[in-house]
Amino acid sequence: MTKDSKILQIEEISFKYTKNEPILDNFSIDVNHGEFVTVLGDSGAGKTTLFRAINGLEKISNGYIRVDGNLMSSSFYHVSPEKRPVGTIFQDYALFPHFNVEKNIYYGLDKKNYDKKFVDEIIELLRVENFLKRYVDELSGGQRQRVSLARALVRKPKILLMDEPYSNLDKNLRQEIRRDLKKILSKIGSTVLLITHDSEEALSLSDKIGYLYQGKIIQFDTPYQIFHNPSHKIIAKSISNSNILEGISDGGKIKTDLGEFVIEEKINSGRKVNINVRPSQLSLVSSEEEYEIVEEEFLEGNQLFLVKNIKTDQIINVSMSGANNFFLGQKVGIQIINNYANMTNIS
Amino acid sequence: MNLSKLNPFYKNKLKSVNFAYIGIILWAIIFSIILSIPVIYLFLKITFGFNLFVDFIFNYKILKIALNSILLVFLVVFLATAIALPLAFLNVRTNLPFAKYLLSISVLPIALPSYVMATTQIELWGPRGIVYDIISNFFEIAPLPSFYGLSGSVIVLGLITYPYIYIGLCATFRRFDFQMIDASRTLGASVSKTFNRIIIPLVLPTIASGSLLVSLYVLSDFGAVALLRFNTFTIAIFNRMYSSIGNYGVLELCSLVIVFCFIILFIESRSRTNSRYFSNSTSVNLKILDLGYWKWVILPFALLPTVLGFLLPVMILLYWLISGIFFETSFINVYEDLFSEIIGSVTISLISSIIITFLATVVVLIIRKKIRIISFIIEKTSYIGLSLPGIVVAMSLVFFTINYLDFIYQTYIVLIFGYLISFLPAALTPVKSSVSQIDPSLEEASYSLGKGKVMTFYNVIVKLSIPGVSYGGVLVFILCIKELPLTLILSPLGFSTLATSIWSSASEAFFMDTAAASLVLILVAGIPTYIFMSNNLSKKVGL
Repeated sequence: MTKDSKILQIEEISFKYTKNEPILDNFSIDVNHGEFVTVLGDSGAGKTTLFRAINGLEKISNGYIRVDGNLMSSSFYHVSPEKRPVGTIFQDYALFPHFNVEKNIYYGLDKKNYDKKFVDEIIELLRVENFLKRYVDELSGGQRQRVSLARALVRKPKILLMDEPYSNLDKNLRQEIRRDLKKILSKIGSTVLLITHDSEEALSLSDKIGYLYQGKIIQFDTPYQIFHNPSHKIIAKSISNSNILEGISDGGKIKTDLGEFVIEEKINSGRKVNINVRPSQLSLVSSEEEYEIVEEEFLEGNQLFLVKNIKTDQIINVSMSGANNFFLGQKVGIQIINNYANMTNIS
Repeated sequence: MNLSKLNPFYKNKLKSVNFAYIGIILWAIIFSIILSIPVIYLFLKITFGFNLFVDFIFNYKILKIALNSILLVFLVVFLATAIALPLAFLNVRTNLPFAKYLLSISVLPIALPSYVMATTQIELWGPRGIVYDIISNFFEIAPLPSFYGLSGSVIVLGLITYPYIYIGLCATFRRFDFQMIDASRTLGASVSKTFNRIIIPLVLPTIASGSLLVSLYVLSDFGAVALLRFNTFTIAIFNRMYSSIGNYGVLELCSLVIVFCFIILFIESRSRTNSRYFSNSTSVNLKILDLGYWKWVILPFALLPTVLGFLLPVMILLYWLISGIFFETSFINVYEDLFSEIIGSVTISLISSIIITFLATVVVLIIRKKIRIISFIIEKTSYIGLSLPGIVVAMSLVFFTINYLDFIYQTYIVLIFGYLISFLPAALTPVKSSVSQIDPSLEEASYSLGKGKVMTFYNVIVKLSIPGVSYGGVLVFILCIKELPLTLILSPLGFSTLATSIWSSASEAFFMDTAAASLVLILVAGIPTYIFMSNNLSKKVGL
């Protein structure tokens, strides 16, 4: 099987609960063999419904879901969850509390016909062999995650589906487990579809990210492109708190209210364009009084300031190192410290 | 030689030996012995005549009674589970209309004493009862099959006891993580495998635990089986007491019942230890099943237990009351006694509940002192009543007082003592939980703020334990006022309560005469029981 062969094909599926607005609306995405794809979106965007539609827990009203070329769901056809070659990692892992680790792992296997060697390999690879006899309430968060992964992988699924698997872990553990997971999954060569609202998780793990908004994918691209060249204001805001600035082209430069930025593309002078400027490209200065600090928040050791243009009310995000003397309500100016920007279609 | 002068160890030792301490220990020992009297007496009697005991129990009649009791227990547990399981699921995890109200009103049948439930159900389902009357108005039918015996007892006891299983199941279903079912399905398990290996094991411990409470209730029940003429242990004990020469076999039967109860309690304590059956999930999937239009079809079925177990019995009682007042000339005599019965019931129950709750508080304070073996012994003996049906406590006290303390036989002292043995465990549980929640550092804080031992005890222990103690008091009051066999057997001659008056009219089939007393009993004891149980349910279910 080549890297480009499609393991999961989702074509224009729709789903709605009775009388409600559609949760998934002509949603499409393809996942190739061995890829780690993330569907990223805020709560209510339809992530959980998508997850349930792929593993067969919900029926779709139109469109198709195929796994490895075989039809799984359509408006007239539905393969029940137990017959789909899809491995599932639930949000809280859904480990059975009345079984020990070993029984949890063996639960999905046909007792008379399973690949013992493969199961042992997975158990070893996921380092669960030392607590096979323990019950779920005796496991740490990281151990639970590994058990649920082992339980799904021993069935040799064609694709592994993960629903916010880190949402209930603390930050340190989350980072540790994330590194661990990436290593293990690349060793096995699994194809993974991760569904999450955590952009950091999506950016650090994925080969590709699909941004889900109001039941549709609004951008499907590499993490680099999603971060540096978001196609939608929502993505820019959610991923990097980016500013979308309007300017006029002048050769390779764009003139904006904040100052001049340089872009890679060559475009005719005098054209109106939008550019994407990240908060870390800007800095506050106390010597001017054109803007006012209206909000502040700490992010990853830095301070993100929301400053408002006193005349136009335009809001600009500026990121500064934690050690600064700026305060809420202070009148400030904005300085450009990195003037390389990307053009964007977002208005 | 004065040891304390030689070694500081002895000095501390001698200092700690004070009279209050010795007093507590002595009191605890005496109290424990008194509480154990029925059990000790019964077992000593049996041990001395062990061969006779063995001959007695391996007798056709006794085995038949044992079989009847076991059969009744199994069938009632089955019926109670069959009612409670779908009802709890429908009320907690579906969009059934009015589920919020149904959740709590489904506990209502618990408000009826078993003998009141029996009289009203006989009226309803009897061969020429209300159901027959209604049907025969439209169709020509033969009288309905007899309601007496096993079938009637199962229906009556099943209707009263299903809330014991229902309450636990509501809590389980509320905590049940539907993600477990999804996980099982996505791991290749079929619907039937998921049901057998995931749903059943997660729900079974709750059913088991509730079933054991139901079993104890059924084994101890006297009123319903007596009125429905089904021969179980309690009936056999009662009949032998009043009919056989020298009360032959009463003690043996009592011992047999205790053995059965101990077995049930043992199984119950084993099943309680396994708390592994709940999801470890932090965000339990609280999915509500959409019943669609079926919800209107299912609604009447969900209402049926409450209608049959509470609404219809109360309506029948009201019908008896009204028709008695307007159409029965002799009815007025019944009401002449009612006032004195209410006074009698309330007075004896009030006095008993004050004494029992006070003693429960003392016991809890001794347990809290953690005086090694003493605390352990007094705690265990205080719970003896749990394993003894009322009729067994009554019989053992009758024999004991006749043989050794004749001067208190058939006095209020023995009656209150009977209530004490039976209902001390009920008072202990709330008192213990409220006292154990008092943080020891509060006492230390009070000492550090200059208050002495007495003021600290009053301001911290007494004031903080008042809610638990009052709850315990009300609970004991309700249990005393409803209790039939203990009151019937141990009451002084001529003393009549609501329960005994209902019994004397009902046992002679004058059901109409029981209406007023039954309604008063439901109001005074049943409704508070319902309020407690539905509060308990709300706490468990988190509404």
